[in-house]
Amino acid sequence: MSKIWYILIVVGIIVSIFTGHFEQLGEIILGSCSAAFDIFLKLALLILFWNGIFQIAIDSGLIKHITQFLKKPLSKIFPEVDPDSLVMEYICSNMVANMLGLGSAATPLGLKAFEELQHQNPHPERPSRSMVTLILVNVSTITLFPTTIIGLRTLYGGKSDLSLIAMMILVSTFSTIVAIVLDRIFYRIGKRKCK
Amino acid sequence: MQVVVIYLLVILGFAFLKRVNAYQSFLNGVENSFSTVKSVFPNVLAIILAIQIFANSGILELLQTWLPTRRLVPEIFIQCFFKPISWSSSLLVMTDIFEKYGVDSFLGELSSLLQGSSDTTIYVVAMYFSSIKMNKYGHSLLAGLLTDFATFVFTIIFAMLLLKM
Repeated sequence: MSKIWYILIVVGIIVSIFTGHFEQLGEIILGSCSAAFDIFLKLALLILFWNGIFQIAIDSGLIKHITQFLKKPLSKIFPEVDPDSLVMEYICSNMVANMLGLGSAATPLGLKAFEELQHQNPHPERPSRSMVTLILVNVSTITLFPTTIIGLRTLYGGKSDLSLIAMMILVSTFSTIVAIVLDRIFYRIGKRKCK
Repeated sequence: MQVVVIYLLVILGFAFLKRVNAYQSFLNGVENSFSTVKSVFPNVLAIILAIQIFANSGILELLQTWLPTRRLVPEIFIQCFFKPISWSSSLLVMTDIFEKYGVDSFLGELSSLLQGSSDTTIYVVAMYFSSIKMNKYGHSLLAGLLTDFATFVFTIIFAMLLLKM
């Protein structure tokens, strides 16, 4: 990230000399502070608000209820994990939190599941099959309710109709399917190489 | 926007049935997320500076002439580039697009779809493996980045076919 930061700034300054934008650059640099604060305020309030709402869902046991429905489909994706184990419990809760757009609650659950999987890993020097799958599922996350994006759209004076939310669900489902398929393909290739 | 109301009603209704102190839960949830919020600010400040300098340098107009279609702008590709690396950076490019082209425009909606499509691949992979101090990633990074790429291509084509101008 540090390199990208340098490149953006240096390239920006050099290009602006050639395109004649150099004069306004000082204003833009100083203006970026207050621009950052405006965006941060919007973002921060959204994060605080949704975490408050989700805490209610966690305390009331709603998340646990939804988790039960996920066990069956998830045991297909994670064939090496015992469906009634604690690890599966963590994986399910992690998925539910991700689906509800609750990234900050999903991460600690995912990390716990990852740690448990490492304990059961027969070759501790490299990640097991389930560990890689867990990461790919987390990277591609199915989002049913993208809280931050809907919130930001509203704060910028836009609409978020059902059709757009439906398209978001479709796109994020697509990415998860691709991730799972690629995971299977890579796993097969790896297995063949071992033989 | 009714979705938000329904969502809230379901969560509060369930809490009411289970006789949970919803008010106290809400307060706790907000209180606990202050540390997350605090860690976001330095990132936002640093990234806005770099993005503002870059976006206002005139380079976007130069890149625009290389694009094969008028419907897309370079900002969309910058957002895609940031997506696997840094969540806040790609989010900030999205708000930039909102301000410049309008939230409900084709570009505003496409940008929202891209942002919602997947998570910050490189960051997530690094975080998970560093939590157990392992430095072999298996095929997770490669498969994750390929997934991101496929998703971006799919989302852009999908949006160009379905969304209005």
